Amino acid sequence: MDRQTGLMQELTPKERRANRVVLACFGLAALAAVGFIVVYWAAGTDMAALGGTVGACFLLLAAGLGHWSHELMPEGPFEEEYPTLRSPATEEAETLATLDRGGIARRRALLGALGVVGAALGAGAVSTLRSLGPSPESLVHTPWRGGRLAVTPEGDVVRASDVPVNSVVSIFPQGFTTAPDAQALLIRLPPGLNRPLPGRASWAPDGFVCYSKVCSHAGCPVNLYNREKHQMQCPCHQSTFDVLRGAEVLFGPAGAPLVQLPLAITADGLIRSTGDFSGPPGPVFWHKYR
Amino acid sequence: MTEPCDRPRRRPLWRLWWALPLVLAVIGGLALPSRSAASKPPGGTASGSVDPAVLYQEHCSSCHGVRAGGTTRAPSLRHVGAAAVDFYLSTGRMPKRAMESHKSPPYKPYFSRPQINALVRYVTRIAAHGGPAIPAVDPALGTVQAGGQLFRENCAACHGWGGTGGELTDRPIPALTEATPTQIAEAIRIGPSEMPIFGSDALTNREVDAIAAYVASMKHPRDAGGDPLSHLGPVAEGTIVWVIGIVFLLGVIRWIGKRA
Amino acid sequence: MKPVRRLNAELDERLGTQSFLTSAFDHIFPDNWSFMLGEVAFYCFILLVVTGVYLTMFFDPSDTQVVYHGTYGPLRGQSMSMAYESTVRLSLDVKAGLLFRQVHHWAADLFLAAICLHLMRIFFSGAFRKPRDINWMVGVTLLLVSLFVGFTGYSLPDDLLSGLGLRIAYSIAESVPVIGGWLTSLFFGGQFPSDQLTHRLFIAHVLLGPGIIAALLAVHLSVLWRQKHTQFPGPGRSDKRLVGSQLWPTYAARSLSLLCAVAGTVALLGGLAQINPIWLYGPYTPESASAAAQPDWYILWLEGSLRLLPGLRVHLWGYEISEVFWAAVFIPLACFALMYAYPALERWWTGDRFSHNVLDRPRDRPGRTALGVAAVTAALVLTVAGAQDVLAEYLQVSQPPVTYALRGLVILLPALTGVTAWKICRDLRAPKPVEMGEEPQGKSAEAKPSPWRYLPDRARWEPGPEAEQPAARTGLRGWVAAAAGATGGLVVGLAAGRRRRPPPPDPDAGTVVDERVPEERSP
Repeated sequence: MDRQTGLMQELTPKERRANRVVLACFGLAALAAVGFIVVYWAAGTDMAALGGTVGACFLLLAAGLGHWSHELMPEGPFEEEYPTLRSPATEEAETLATLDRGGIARRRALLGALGVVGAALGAGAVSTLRSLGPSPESLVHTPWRGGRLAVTPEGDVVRASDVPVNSVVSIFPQGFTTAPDAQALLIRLPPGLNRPLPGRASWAPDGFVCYSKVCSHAGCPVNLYNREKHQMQCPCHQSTFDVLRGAEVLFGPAGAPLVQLPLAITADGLIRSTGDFSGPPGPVFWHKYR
Repeated sequence: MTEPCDRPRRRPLWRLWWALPLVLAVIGGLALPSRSAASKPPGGTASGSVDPAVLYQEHCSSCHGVRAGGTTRAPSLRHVGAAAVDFYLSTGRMPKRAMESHKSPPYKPYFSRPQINALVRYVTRIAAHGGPAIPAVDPALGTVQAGGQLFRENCAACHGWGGTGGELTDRPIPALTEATPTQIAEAIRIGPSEMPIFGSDALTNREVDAIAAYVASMKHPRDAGGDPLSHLGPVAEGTIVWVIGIVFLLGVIRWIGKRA
Repeated sequence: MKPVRRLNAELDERLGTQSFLTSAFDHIFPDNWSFMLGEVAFYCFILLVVTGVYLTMFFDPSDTQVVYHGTYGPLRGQSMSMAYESTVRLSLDVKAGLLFRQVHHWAADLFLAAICLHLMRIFFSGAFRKPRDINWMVGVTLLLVSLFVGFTGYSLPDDLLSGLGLRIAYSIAESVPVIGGWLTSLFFGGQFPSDQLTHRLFIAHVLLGPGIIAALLAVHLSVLWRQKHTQFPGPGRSDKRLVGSQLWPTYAARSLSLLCAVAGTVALLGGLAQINPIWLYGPYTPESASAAAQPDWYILWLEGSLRLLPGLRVHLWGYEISEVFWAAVFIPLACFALMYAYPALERWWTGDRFSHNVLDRPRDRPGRTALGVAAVTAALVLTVAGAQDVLAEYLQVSQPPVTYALRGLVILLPALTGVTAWKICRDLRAPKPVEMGEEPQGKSAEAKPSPWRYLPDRARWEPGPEAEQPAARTGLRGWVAAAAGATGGLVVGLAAGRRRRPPPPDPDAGTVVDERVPEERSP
């Protein structure tokens, strides 16, 4: 074959060799495909064999096709002209004149009215988006209320005497163990360490302190607790909060402390809350501080 | 008429020779079973004596005090509980030794099991009584799936979803794959180092059984998809895509196409 | 040939295809290897659609909770969404199901890697200039939609890692001022995690996303077909004349070969390397978290941006704008806006309003190359920052130094690499401008001449009579190479050093490795 023009002539020895190589590649590829069928029907669970046979088949096919295109196909070089994209000015004028057939382009009032209809319909279509979900006001309050007992995720009440110092308990309000925004971490600090924020002196009886588990950065659960440094840390972006000082941010990208839950211990020695969190838990959204 | 191109383009198939060892290396690397974790430092051989008083005197008293009351070098062992003594001894955290890296606990224990048992009884008698006893754990009593859910909610944030460890702000968090069920239960109840304590309200004994069962199941995770890439997750996967996939395909298109 | 002859005649009778076929078969495509990167992405997309159709036969996009009773022991009895359950069943109980799933996921990662390389090639060779700036904008849109499709795709199985990512995405949407709360309520279907979430992700991932990508790809390829492909300068090539190989048979064979190579690569990866083993991660609940929970690699830059930006809040009229908005909404949107506007910006800056069919060598546009290198470096640093906890653990360093170092690096390193790239380009190219090239086309003939001169219409390696060979200053390149080598050597040395055998422990040493709180006690 003439490599420049692609006209077939007598096969040169080089082309004969290339023929054989391509045939070999395709033959092996077919074998690999058959191998895949065998493996699939035999057990179909050996991932390495399944992937290996299919992969080998495709790679051999690629090699054969590539070699064919390099050795047995017209090489060229071939050329052609780039199109001149910019049309002459007369054609442009003709197009514009065609657009204006029947004086359409000049009927401003009609076109304007059409635009108004389009905008109104568009607004109508956009309004139907309102059906997609509830209003966002539900994000502000959690199920925590004054008097609600703290329970574990399994629903068992938390007894103050069963919580050792330096231990943690994940708690929910009683009856709401599936509310994700209500999850909180109850920590029993060693006595005398807590530095409550102004106005929160009564929120942490007997060293029991409780903060929301919903990170104020991007909402992941703040599940890490370092009991020696008394720090909660979020596993997502490593925001670290100082439990002794109102969960203020010590390190990481969070911009606000975790919200605190005011606690009290009932006469029976159970843990209960005396109100909702000090603010909406979790990250900031526009309605949050109205 | 076009001028002839530059010299005739030769891209014979043999120029792809580099692809075959690369593909074989990739297959070999991924298909071979992954090696086990790096070996732990060899445990020192304590003398064969089982006399706990002697063992305590030789290995513990210089830091923890003659009657386990503590010194400036180590805290008191008063009321820490038998569980704590057993945990620190059986995981090899105590006595302190020079370590290969501070990521490896649990280490191979320094003492033999009879020695540990004797020491636990001794230290509990002289100081550690009043704290958590060695918990009775039976992973068979807990269901793995319940343990998995509890693990993900309480433990995975520090120890990773598979118990392979992690990092606090400035301290590494150990992997759990070498831990025995008893050690896991002890750690939950005593809260070693920075780990918080989980009391019986936070995790009941049955829940601790379940967590131990889950951690045991994670020692041999079912890697049905092939080479697990060290269970590192998307970071390892992205690295493989670029280092193996893209590099290989770049080689392929260099072979198929022309240079500029 | 007889059946082909028959088919050709039948088609021609109905569609009149002869002239189209002949001109199509003669269509010239230049052969440069770097032009095939876009094809790699295209073929990854085709593989994704093919494997994806298979996956939709098994996946159940529902958040309804079920109890698992399948063959995987550790999850038996676990309550989970039907989305997760169907994915576990597909992975572990369907013959070759896991192969399709893994091939799909590897192809997705490869798809975005190829798009990024293709984007870089287009940028550094100046292929985005007129008349191909519209194709550039189509391409940037394709990148955006592909990122979105990738994210929704790996979030579909509702596993622990992707569930955390969805929670973060929810917070990102929430952080948008004024409309944030409405955005999340309406598009996520309520408070996180809503029971509509997987269903909506599924529609976005399977219908909307691929539909948009397919339509945009059709536009992308049609524009390419109409305008013909660009080419690097070389003998016989100019803004008027395209040199390459014919579509049929040579280019078609090469393209098909590339399709097979891509298919083979993802098949091998899918069979040999495990990816996204969701049955090990466990199902997502809002109380669950894990250490080292990274997103897929192409979202890592966003994760890095979230981790690095300090927690600065802006207060406006009693409302607050969180740091998440700046890190994950404002800065990325600004970068993409810059990407869309770049051809226009470069036209304005250089004054070059001509159409170009011949590409630049990166060294001939030092400013653009420096800007591109800086941008790529910034993206790389942000990607590394997305895994900064894994990095800190690997280096055995605490997290704050790594984070602060990355904060500095994200500013300094792009500046450094940009300036270095600029200097290297200046060193490499010819010191004297050479003669003007082809006649400019269109109305812009009267525009002020560009400060940049055209490349000569001749072979690169035949310098014109008046052009002098540049005296290559190897000093800077030598220093850069030496620094890179030294750094590489240092890194290798450190890595090797950390693996040496530990010294045997000295039982009598009693060395205190970590400091406990010393307490005064009476014995």
